Amino acid sequence: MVVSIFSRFFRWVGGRLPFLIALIACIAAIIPLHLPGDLEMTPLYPLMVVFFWGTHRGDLMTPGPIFFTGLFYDLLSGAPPGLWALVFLTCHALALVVRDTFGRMLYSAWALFALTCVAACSLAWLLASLYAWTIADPLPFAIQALMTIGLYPFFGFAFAFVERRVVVPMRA
Amino acid sequence: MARANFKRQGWKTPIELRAHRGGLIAFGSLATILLLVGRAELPLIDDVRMVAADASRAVLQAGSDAAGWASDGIETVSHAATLYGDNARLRAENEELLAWRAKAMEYERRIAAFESILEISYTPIAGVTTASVIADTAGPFSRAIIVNAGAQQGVRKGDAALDRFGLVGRVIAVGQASSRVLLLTDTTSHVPVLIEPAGVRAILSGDADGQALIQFVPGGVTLAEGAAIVTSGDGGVRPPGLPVGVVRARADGSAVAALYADIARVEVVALKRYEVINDVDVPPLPMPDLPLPAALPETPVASNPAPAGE
Repeated sequence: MVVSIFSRFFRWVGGRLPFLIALIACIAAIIPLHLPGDLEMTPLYPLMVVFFWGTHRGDLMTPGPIFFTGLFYDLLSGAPPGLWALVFLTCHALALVVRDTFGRMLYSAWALFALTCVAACSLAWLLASLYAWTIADPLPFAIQALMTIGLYPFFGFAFAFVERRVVVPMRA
Repeated sequence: MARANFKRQGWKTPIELRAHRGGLIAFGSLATILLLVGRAELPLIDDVRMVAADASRAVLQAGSDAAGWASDGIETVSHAATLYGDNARLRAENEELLAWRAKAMEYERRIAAFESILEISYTPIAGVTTASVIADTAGPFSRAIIVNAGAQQGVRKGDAALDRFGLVGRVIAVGQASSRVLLLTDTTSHVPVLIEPAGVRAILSGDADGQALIQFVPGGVTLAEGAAIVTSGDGGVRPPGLPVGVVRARADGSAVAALYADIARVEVVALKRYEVINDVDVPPLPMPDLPLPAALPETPVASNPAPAGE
């Protein structure tokens, strides 16, 4: 009985782990790095988490957690509430559609991520411009997209490790 | 074909696929509605933001501590390479500064003497809270920082935030143990300033490039490159005389402020509260020493105007 409750609890925690990682990624994205130079943007860590778990384990990263990840990031980063939520949901849908349409042609998850990330930053730029009703400077968004794409392989490996060694055993 | 579709997409049942699609549409619509409603900039949103910041405070603090150590380490290593040159330069600078120190102390004595003669009353500081920066949300949407002091530490909305060199911005939202400081370079930041030595009044506003533009300079006034900028305190935005920066002309003819504060790398800020005494609009207090009220009720003011020249 006790064992069963414990295993069910672990199963539950294992299922919420991707969402927890996504929330931590939101916080990580606004930690001041005090880097030399006037680099203002940080990589879009939350998009990496949403993309990885959304495409690899769609059962654990459903639209609900994606929405709340985006909203949390909006609240923390000072963006208009709902902006990143909408961007993440749209890009999650886009990634799934592209994967299911060109699954055999796009061998690399990195290429799919690059496509998703460019779409995400373009959409964020468009929404930011519409929201402020001026043409926003596209350069920060371009830098953010490049940084995020460049760093994704490291995080992709880390997430794959967490999935294999933590989430799957916890939910077994 | 249609039957196999959900399996090819990794779903166990067609219901799962439909639930996923439904969720996407529902949450997507919710995000769109939020975006439209949020356009109204309700004060509630700021409160919710501070709740989120308070909730993430522990992780933010740990993360920014780690980032601080890492950048300190990088700095130590990079400084080691230029140690000899730095040393020689600092020695020369130190000698020069010692001479300035004697001068500054002399001026300090003189100013104190003048102030005691003139009985100048400054805007009193109600309190200072020192806080470290735990989050930097400098991005295309807002240029703001989150610091690890809030209502519990006595921080109030509107406090001026300064680093070692000058003004950084002002507190726009206060949480329990954290607060959000809007930087001078944010596009929604507008600060009334005074440009020395003539005392030209202008407004300092953030622009899209992350610089602080000097706007609304009176016609016919040309600003001298390198002139000092201080806050003017107009409109009660913040107390006068806080150091801001110096004037720098841009290639297109507009003037920007080269800020004293190192806004891109602020680590510690002093949040200063000022008691702005405004007793001009307050009705005067009744004077208890004069025994007037005994005679007044019998002679209503309206029906008994005082004769001229009495």
